[in-house]
Amino acid sequence: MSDLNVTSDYQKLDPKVFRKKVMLCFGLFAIFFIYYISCAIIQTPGFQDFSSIPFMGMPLGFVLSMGVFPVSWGILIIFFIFWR
Amino acid sequence: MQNPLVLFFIAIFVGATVVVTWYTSKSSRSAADFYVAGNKVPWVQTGIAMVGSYLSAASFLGVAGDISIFGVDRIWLAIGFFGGYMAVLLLIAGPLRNVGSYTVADALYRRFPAKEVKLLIMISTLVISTFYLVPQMLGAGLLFELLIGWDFLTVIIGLGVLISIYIIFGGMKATLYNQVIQASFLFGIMVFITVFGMLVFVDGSMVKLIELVSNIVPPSIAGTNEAVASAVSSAPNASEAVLVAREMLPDAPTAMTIGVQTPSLLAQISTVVALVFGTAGLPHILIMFYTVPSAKAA
Repeated sequence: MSDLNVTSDYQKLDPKVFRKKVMLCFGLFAIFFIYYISCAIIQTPGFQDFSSIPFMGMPLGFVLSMGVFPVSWGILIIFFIFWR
Repeated sequence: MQNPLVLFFIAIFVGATVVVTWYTSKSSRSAADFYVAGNKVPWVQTGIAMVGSYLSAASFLGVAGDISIFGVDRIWLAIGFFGGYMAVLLLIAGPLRNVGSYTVADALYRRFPAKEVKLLIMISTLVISTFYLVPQMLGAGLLFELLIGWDFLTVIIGLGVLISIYIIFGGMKATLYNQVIQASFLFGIMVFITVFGMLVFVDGSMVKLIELVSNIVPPSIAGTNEAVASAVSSAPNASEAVLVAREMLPDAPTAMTIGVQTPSLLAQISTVVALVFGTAGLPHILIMFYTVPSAKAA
């Protein structure tokens, strides 16, 4: 494994900056994961009444589930702006 | 000759794979070239190759088939896989690439240098890869058998030999190029099927599409009633089959009904968590992060 080109971008960083970047990544993932798991939970039979409410001609649960994609796009935009 | 179009595409893919392998084998000179494509692959190319992994038989055929049989609840299989890539991007990609090893096992061994750790990682990698590979090969064998009537075992062996050849001779470079070809083809086909289906069946109207889907009795429910199954199978076309099933089962849930096919709360949480962190831990995804020049690119 000696000829693998290792670029230690993180090792060059100030520890405070590194910690901020790690916090940003974990924070953004936490936001995504909370939204994601919440949408998954309302798909279960216990929340059927709520998830079946019509919204834009579709069940609300389905719309919120599809919302995972735009939410992730927003998170990715924030990530690419602040991570650099 | 049955299904000449299918045979044409098979010939194209096998030919492209052989050409790519031959081309890349000439430029593989070191261990780094073989394992991680010399760390010189542009991040865009690695990204497209990852799309190829995402659009595998499991998601392209399996998830689509599952939704068509069980209804919209199963969309979480597709969303779950996607969530895995968010975990990969935000938590794993940069730090993993920064370690500077060929495999995840090497990276963890550097952090925890004990032989037992390496052995454990090797075993888990083999187990995960086997469980991931078997359904893919099984799907390919069944698909070839269904579409062109080829012998299942022969197809499995043939595909195994072809995959082995391009990995042994072309290494990671051949794998990435083949994944890019696969991703481009599947993405194009996906767009074509969506546009074609929308135009032909619902005149391009989203409202009509939702109306149609809201009338469908999922086959997982219709199939449990023998009379309905018989009536549906004798319907002249798909539209008639939908109407017949709905007339015979007016109170049955539709394909858009939420919470019908979803298991219990605990099972749902278990499934989606496994999909996110399971996808994020797939060895063939993680090793792609070593192919780019830096942690920033990863």
